[in-house]
Amino acid sequence: MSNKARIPNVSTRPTLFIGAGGGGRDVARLSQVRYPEGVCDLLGLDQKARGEVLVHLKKLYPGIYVDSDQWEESVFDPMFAGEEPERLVAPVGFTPLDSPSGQYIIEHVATPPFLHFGDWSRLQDIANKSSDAEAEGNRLYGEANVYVNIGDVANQIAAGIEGLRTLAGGDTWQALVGYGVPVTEKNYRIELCFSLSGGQGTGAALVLLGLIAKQIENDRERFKINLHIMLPGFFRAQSDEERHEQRIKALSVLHDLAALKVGGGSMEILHPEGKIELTSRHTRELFNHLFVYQSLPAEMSRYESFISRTSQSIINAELSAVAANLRRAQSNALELARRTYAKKRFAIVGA
Amino acid sequence: MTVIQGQVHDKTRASETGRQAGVEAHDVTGQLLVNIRRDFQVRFSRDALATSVSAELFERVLSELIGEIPGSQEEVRSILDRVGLAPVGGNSFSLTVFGENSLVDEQGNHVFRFVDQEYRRSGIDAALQRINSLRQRYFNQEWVVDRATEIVQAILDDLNSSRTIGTHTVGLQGIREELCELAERARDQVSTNMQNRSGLEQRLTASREAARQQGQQQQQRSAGKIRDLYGRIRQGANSPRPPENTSTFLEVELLRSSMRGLALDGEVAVCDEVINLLDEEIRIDETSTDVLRAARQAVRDEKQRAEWTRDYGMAGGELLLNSDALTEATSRYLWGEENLDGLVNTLRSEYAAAHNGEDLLTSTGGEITAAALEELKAIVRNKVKARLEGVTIVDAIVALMTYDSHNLQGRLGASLKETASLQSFLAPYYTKSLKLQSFASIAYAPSRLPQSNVSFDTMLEEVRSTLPIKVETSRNPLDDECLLFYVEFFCVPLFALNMYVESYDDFKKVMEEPRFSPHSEIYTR
Repeated sequence: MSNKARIPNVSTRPTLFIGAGGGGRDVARLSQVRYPEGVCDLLGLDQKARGEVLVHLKKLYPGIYVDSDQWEESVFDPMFAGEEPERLVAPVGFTPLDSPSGQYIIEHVATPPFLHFGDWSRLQDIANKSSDAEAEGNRLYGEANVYVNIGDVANQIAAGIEGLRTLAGGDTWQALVGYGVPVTEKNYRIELCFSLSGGQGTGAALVLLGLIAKQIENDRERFKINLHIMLPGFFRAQSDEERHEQRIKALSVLHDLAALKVGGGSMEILHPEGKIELTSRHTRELFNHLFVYQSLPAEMSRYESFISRTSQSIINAELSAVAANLRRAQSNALELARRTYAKKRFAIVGA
Repeated sequence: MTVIQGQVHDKTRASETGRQAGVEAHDVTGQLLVNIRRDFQVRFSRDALATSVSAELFERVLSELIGEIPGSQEEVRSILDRVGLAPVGGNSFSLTVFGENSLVDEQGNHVFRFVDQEYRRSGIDAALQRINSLRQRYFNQEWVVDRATEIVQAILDDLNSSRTIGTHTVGLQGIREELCELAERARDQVSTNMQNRSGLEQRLTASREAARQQGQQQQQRSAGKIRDLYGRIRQGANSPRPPENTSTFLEVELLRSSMRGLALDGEVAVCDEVINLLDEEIRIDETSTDVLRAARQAVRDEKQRAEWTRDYGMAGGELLLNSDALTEATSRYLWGEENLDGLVNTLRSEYAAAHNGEDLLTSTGGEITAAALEELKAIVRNKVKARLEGVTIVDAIVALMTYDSHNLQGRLGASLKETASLQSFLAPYYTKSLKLQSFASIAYAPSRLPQSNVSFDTMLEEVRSTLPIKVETSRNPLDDECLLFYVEFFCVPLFALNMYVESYDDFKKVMEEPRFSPHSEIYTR
């Protein structure tokens, strides 16, 4: 059975992994698969107990994946000779987003299921979107793909979040407590992963954040939303033009996030049942932490290596030997605040 | 709790952890703050290590055992001397144990037990080496070819004169045929090599060049194809209904992602070929040993670089201790410089315990069967496994630092420094305007040996003193096969990211383009 003494101040909680676009999908899925294994490693379970605990833990970490591409099996090389490669397969039930051509959407905007595109200010800008194409590296096309499937995506988000709420205290919860798994219901976690290189992840990110914000608007304080974004560079850009395009795309997302989170900008999401309006109340609380991951020069164009390491970093922050200390660590936010307001000659009270 | 005038925080939230306070600070700084995570791991695999150390020890134990076969050693040496196969030193002759047949001396005593085809092959190679050794002594003498033939013939004669037992005759006949082939090969190799000596260095240079160029060519080919595809994409993008954009773009992505890997795979494959070629040349022509060995080392280094780059990214986040060097160092670390007699005796006594007290050599009459070898292998494996039980990452690193000449500490230091550096992320002025706030920790499982911990801590302290940030050290047995160096930089203003700063002017112009700004309402309301 478990060896509780080996788990110093590391706890786990219901966590929803959401991956958008190819890279984000792979990081989220890999983390979702590795996370329960990591918890079992901490517990030092024997083979039998491990199998039983894994069944329950997997329910504690559901996943939602939003991508317009087919999901082929990925194989991650093992670290050591003699070990099995890590195979990443699509979760059961995954279907790629429908991605009709822009012209088709425009021509059918007066009929379901495209009625909600009717008053979209960007509708004419997707005219060149290809037939049955994915996002084509275009952020706008990526968002259009999500809007085509918005009903299904919104339902998945709603079900996933509701699932987190009902996990605490339920059968799964009780079973895990019985095995000595250090579960906590202090807050629920949402880990949203996407890459800033392509079109689908960058196009879906704001919509997904908006849908989440709407779903949790009444109990926002019970959720921690972590954004994991991967800067461009892990696909080798072939030309200066492409490098520039990727960088601008990345900056456009960061710029939007800043405008929403800091500026309190409002946002709207197309939906067949009417536009979803997000006010500054929602957008200022759009997420809690933003983590950026950048590939090192040696990892250039080594997609699997970068994805694997990004996933491992996410897990290390939660489950590794440093996790407990990490939670104690102090940020420099207050110092930033002091400096900012000292320059503006604002008074700082308290300590 | 800190309250800032004009920006009063909700008390509950402000009293949460420091990280939570970081979130609330968005309001007061007017900047989007990001956390940057980096980590670096040093890993070894105890299972993989146990396998390789077992193999190494087993080979040594086997040598010892062969040397202990009663009454055989002198006779073996005598025979080997006569046929020109006397061991150069140590127990190397143990590798001349051949297949499933026994060789008997003139008195009918078993002097060798042939184990399997692999060792039989080794025996042939040993003969070849001996021939080459003679050739080195009488270099460039035409008659060395004849002498080689004579030697092989002597081996054949000796085999023929040996008495055989039953079915072993067939096996010996097989050896005879192989040795005939060997004589033919030796003659050919010597004459061919002599003819080609002048061209040897050119061939080696060409081979090394090929190893270097193959990767480049691969990349050029792929890059050309991708450029072509991009041309098609751009052409397609300008047409009203580009029909092939999706598949073309996918093709580009696939090519791009696989290009580097393919090139490196090619490099590794070519390096392997070159190493094989060099090995062969070294075996045939020992007169050029120094040149050849240097060439081989250069190719091996190239191969190592390609493998590191291909598999893990150089110092990109993982240092895997998975090499022959670790095997050798661990073996010495665990057994010290002690004679293997102790281990051999233990093995024999364990073998006896499992066989009703019968000694290995007595019971077999000097004939070590394949089954007995398997049993010994299993005992060695268990011994190694038992000694590796408490071995942690600290032991692995200390072993390598003690017994291997590779500068592990230097590499570790460089990697940690790289990981602790923010230069690739931040604009230089950021750290001048705000003191860097980070959490950095090195976590590892200590060794059970106090002296190893002392040695490791000393090394770690030296490395830590060179790092630009304060690093906590925590001894934690959570994962004893991994040393984890974790850094998190808190609440870095978004605009401090160098890519953001560098592109900002240009960026403002393109934000009007719909493809970069699907949500214009964020800025207009």
